[in-house]
Amino acid sequence: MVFSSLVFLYAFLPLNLICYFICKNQTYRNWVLIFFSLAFYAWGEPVWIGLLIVSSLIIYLLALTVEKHRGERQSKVALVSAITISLSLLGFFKYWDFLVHNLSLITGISIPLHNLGLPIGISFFTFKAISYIVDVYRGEVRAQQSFPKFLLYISLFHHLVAGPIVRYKDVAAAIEHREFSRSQFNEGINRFVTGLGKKVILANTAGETADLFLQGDLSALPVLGAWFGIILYAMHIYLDFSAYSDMAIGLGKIFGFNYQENFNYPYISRSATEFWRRWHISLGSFFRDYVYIPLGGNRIHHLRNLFIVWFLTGLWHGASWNFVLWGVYYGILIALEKVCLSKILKKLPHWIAHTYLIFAVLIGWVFFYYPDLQSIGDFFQAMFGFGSRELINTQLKIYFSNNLLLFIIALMACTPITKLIRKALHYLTDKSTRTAFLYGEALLPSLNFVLLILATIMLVGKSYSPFLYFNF
Amino acid sequence: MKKHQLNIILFLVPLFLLGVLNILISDKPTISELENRKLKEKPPFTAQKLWTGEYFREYENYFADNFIFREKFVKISGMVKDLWGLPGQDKVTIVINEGANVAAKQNQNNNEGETNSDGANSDKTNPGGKADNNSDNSNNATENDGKGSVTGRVFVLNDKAMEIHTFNAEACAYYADFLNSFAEKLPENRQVYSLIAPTQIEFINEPKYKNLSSPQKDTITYVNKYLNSEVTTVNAYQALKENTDKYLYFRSDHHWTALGAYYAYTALMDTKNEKAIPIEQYQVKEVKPYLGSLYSTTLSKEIKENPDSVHLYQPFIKHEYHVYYENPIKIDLLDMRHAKNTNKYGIFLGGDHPWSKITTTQKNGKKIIVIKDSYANAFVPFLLPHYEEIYVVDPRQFTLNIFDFIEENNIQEVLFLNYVLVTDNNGFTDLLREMSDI
Repeated sequence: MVFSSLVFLYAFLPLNLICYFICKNQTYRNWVLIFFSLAFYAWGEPVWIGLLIVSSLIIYLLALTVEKHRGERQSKVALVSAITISLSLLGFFKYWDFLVHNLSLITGISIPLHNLGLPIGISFFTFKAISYIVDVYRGEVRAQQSFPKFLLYISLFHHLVAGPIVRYKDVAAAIEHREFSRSQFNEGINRFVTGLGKKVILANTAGETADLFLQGDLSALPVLGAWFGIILYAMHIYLDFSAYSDMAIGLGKIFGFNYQENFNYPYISRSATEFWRRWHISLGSFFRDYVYIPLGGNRIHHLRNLFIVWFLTGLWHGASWNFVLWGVYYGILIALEKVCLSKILKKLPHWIAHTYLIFAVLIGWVFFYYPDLQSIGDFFQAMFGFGSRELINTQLKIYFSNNLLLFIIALMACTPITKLIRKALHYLTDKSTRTAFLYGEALLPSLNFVLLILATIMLVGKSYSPFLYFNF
Repeated sequence: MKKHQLNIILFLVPLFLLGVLNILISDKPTISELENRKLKEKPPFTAQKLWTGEYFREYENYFADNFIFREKFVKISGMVKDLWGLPGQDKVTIVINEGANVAAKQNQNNNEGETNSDGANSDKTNPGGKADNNSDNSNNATENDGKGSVTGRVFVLNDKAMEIHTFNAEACAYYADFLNSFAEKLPENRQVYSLIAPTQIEFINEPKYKNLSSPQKDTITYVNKYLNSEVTTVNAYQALKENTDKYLYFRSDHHWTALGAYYAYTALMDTKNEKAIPIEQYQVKEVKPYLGSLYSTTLSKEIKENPDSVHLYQPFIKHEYHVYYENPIKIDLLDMRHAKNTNKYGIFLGGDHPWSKITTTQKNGKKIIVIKDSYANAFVPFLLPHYEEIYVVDPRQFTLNIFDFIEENNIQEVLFLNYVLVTDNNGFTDLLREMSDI
């Protein structure tokens, strides 16, 4: 299931809220969350629910071993087995077919594909499991003694299928004990509804419009069409992904959990290094803490480490070479910035550094979007005006003028402008209780209400699919 | 009121209220006339479907199709989309229509209307990426689709909506090739005609929008060049072009009017060196207002304010008309039962049927079979004065062996009548080929 669906909003969530708040006992509440999380997971493909539970059980037991034999050899063995098992599962389900395909291309050996498909969220829950057991090994957190509580951490539907990669230590206390607070519930609503609106109203439309340019015949794509398309895609991917994180964080607050931020306005960065500190923070910090630093960080084999980390970061996004290319591309940019580029960028006016970053990111999204080198090449030709192509065509003009307002709002949503406005309002409201009341108790709730209803209307609108031919 | 109470109430009340109303209110429509389709029914529960996750996917579509206030919400969401744009001199939009599937097969797998674009069955490490959409795209695209996209695009210019045509050399050749093979497989002394109907967008006056759609004249020429001498082409294009000042196409529908069809008919008569019946000889009935398929697609305000009307040229030759499903059913050639429906184009021949037969009192022994898409429906009534028997076959539903059918009924003339958009992709040609084992 996804958050931005009618079934989630108007069946799953209300039921979940009732069952949860009817129980007064913390243990029952945990069970309610586990039950709903498993149902949430099963909604996609019930087949994999066993995999989720069994792999959680193994990690749970191994973590207990790690803690029990701290300092002894068994501890390390348990850690290594846990990581091996997690990565093998991920490797088998996500990368086996890719590996076999490439192997047969190189050597001609044919090994059967498994064609099992990808269990939902496996990239997220295996990483959560790894971060947990490593933290236990490092003594940064106590191992969870109760399996249901551990399962709750791994399977909690807020972050099960699309992140963020929540660390156990950030939620350990909340799993044991949560206090209901009206102001947190309130914040959770604000956050969830913001995310929902971002996803349904802005991200979906931006994505659909981007596809019109990116998926057509690239040899006839006008230059500005290519730029318009890739900018829309950049907005789509940020709004879509950060909206999921907003909704996850919002849901967390509603149920009494506090998750770390996952995005921090990445498009305002002035270097690729900064971009990755602001983009998908939970993934970047995972690779930093569990791969880059253990490998030696910037102390030994710095370039090798950078390459490994960015190769893996790319590969994590999908079993396809274009993702690897995308990851390595960032690795190279970041290495260049470390060597000299950032010194130069710092001396230049901000807008130049900013332009550099936006340009670099847009190029990056081309690698991310197209799975094959042929299309990537064709698209670059369109962007840079190779071949006999127009600068602009009628279709682009029509799409542009039909979506201008959306384009502007989406652009604003990618920047902290709305946050600044909110801050300004807060500042004003600090001075007067009356405006504070109007803002917090009237304006904001009405705004949320409108967003929720609008998002619902757009979701229902998506089901509208007229047929030219009678299709009864 | 306590702090934050309003925010919490305004969030929870809609969630619970709409959730509960959804369950309580059960007399919802099962058919959406506006969309020309059946709304999704609650999927039957089977362990197999549950296990593969199909049950939940179907349930999600059912849930959306049966959501409370759906029709109102759909209309509002259309209005919201209108707000994104700039007001200009012309009201111009391009609407994407995923349901437009030219070759939507009607008999089985009606999965095209998948509504859930976030495939729930993907690992979302690839946020908002294409992996998301795998689940619904696979339903839409026919496999050997050539390069053409199955998604239709509709251009709206003020109160006129028109399908956009995209030239696809491969698909053109695929269609022409089929016609050649078909003619070859027929016994000698059978005459095969090919009539490709151009559409409205070809004849718009505004030069600045001309290049939105590929030139249909070129497409038709391209197909005709491929045809062997056994296939005789009918130049309907010229006949229509000479009369563009008249009401040849609906503004709210993707079809031509009966008048448009009439000019195409005169072109057929020219090709056969026969005399066409003058249009004045027909009595005309008018049915209005008509808001057709492209209004449904676009929900354009301008079109709604200025709907079409359907002109019906009353046949004056005595005839009997039967449509054949399992058993023949006798209906009117201009089936007025459709006059009160949304889809008034359905009046012509009573819509699309697997096959149908018209027997006239013109005892001249001449027989023709029209293998067609729905463009032929407005056209066929004009053939009455010229044939004793007229057979009409729709490849989307026809299940018999077409060559045996022609042989058994001793039909001498075969007319392929389709609109130019069947050459945008291979979908329709696939159905033609399947029907003829080619």
